[in-house]
Amino acid sequence: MRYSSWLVIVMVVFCLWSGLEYRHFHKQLLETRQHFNVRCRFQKAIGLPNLAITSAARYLRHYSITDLTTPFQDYPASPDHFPAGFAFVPPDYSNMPSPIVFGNPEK
Amino acid sequence: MISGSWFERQKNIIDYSLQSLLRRRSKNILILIIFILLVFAVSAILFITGSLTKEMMITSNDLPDITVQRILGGRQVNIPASFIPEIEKIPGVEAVETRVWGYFYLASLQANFTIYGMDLTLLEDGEYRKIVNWKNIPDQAENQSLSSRPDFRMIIGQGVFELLKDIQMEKAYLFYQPSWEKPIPFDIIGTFKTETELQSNDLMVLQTEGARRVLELPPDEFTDLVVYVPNPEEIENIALKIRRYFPALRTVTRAQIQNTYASVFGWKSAFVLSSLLVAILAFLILIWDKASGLSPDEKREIGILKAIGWDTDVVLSVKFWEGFILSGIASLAGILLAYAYIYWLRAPGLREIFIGWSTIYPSFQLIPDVDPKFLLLIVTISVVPYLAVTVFPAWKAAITDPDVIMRNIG
Amino acid sequence: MSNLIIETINVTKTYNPGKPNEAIAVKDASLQINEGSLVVLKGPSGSGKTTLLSLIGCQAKPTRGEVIIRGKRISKLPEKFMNRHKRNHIGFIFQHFQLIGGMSVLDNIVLPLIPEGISPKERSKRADRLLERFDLAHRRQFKVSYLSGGEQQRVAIARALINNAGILLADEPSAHLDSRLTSDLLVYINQLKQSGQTILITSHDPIIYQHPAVDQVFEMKDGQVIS
Repeated sequence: MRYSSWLVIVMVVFCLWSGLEYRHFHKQLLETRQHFNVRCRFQKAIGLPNLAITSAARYLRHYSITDLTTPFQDYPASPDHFPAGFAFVPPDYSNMPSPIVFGNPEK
Repeated sequence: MISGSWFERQKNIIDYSLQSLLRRRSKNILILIIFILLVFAVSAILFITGSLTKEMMITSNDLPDITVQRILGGRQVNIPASFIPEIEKIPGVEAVETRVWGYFYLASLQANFTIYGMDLTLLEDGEYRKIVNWKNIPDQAENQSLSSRPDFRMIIGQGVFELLKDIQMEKAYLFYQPSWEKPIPFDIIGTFKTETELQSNDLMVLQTEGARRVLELPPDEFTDLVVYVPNPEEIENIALKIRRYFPALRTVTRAQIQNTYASVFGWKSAFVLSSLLVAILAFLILIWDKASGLSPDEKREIGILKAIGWDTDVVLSVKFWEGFILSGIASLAGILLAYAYIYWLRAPGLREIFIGWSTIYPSFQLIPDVDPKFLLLIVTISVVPYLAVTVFPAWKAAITDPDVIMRNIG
Repeated sequence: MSNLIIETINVTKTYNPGKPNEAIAVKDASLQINEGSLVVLKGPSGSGKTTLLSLIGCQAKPTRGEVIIRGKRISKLPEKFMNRHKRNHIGFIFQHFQLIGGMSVLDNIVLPLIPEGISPKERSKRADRLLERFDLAHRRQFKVSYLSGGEQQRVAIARALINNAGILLADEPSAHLDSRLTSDLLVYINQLKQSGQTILITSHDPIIYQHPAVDQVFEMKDGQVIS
């Protein structure tokens, strides 16, 4: 088979793939539009701004309005939770024994 | 000699171009892979940033115009009711509403809930009724809960409901803090619809008085205030006035919330792109190698083609097709792969970087955000420069007399 | 009476004119070649034989003078028309064969037919005839870099003949061949002459220019045709 025929086959595959993705795109958009009304009404009723996805520590959910430093929490200057927890769950050290001995050491 | 059709001629030229690409297989495959990777990465980041921004923007127009908080010692504290009439006096302010909300951390499930207090009867009527899946509460239980405990009802998000189901508390939940005498039970009268999952997944909306009890808010204090300003042009002015008249107060406008989101997604895009620095550098080196001139083999090949009677424009067509096919396939493949990765596979790996993690995670589908302008830009900035570095070095050899080329390369 | 097929009138070729490294490769060269004849241009290295052959073969344009092929003044033609004339009338065999190493024997031979829009089937048919004629059929799909010197020479000849050109120009065809292979080459050249081809060869090899099939020998020295 000619090389140009292979190229045509590749182009046809790309077209089919694009078609599939376009169909998916269209379907998703229609679905989303149907949800818009419900979501807008919810937003009007509740009025808390942030989506239930958090890009930072688990204790900061509405980070755009929670704290004075909150809008800048993802910046390096904020020591609370950058960079440990910003993408994945930080390791849980809560059950580790403390290396520090409190109180008077036994003589 | 009988010539064939123009169409056959073009097919022959394309055949030759593909053959030529395959003759330098290793180098071209490497360029193709890196090219696809770069287009894929840029497109994927554009898609996910666009989708998340779109998600946020969809509902942000319904946010309050100005949120007012009280700051003490650099931290947010409860705001007393005495500020309300003072803010209402500012010209341009339509209304000031109070908000009671906060967090409740359930250590056993490592889950952080958002508690929001409001009058639940407002959700039972009119347009707001449709955002809740109301529970079928048995008559007896309903009579008991509504008549004796109207302040201790709540509507929860789907994620919360799933967690409470695991601990058999899907009908009522017991709030408890060690400092309380006894736990406070709340009846669950409904769950928010799955369409609102992205916003409500971890939310518990309690009757206001119940919320006050759980958040331990003193009677005349609120978490924050929201100010409604009918004229959008006045929002910034009024926010400024509030900050000037009341130095202890901080204002957050809707525009600031939107900008904060844009900046968060913006820096995350840059973070991911910068991790591709190695791939970008490798690609630039390969392109520089191409642009700095033809190899002796390539020059010789052009000389031979010219010597056996190929026109300059045919030689340049071959080079054009070589560059166009490689960069075109790379751009298309990169974009299509990026779409599939973000919207079909839901961006494993990249999602965590942009969205973070949470114990109560909504299983949401990103809204596809495909801006044709951006796609055209990606294709243009990937195909056009590559064509230039492929065709221009060949042009110099193609316009030289074959005799000169042959002599120089023997 | 034979027709005049190639004529050069006071052809001069200067490289890098006006620059410190200016070189006059051919100076006022005039010759006439009849159709169907076998002509040799002989002379020492640097005498301008290759340059004159390049000018006749449309590989370069003369600085002054005229080159006339089949009655057409090709030196004045725009590149596109000159190339068309070249494809239709001239086959060129280069000194170092100038084959594309990564391509097969078949692909090298059919190269001149690609811009003509000839289909792969037709190209294959024409090439196969030549492959049979030059005993290369068993090497059809081999990459030329794997071939011996003699086989590469035959591929170069086949490529020059693929477009059924009436004129064959060969630049030092025996330069990379031993005497046995040179004799074989002369057999092919003689066969081509018998079939009506006009052949112009540059060579300083006496085996070539003293061959009985040669009709005319021109001698060049310092860029000029002296006999």
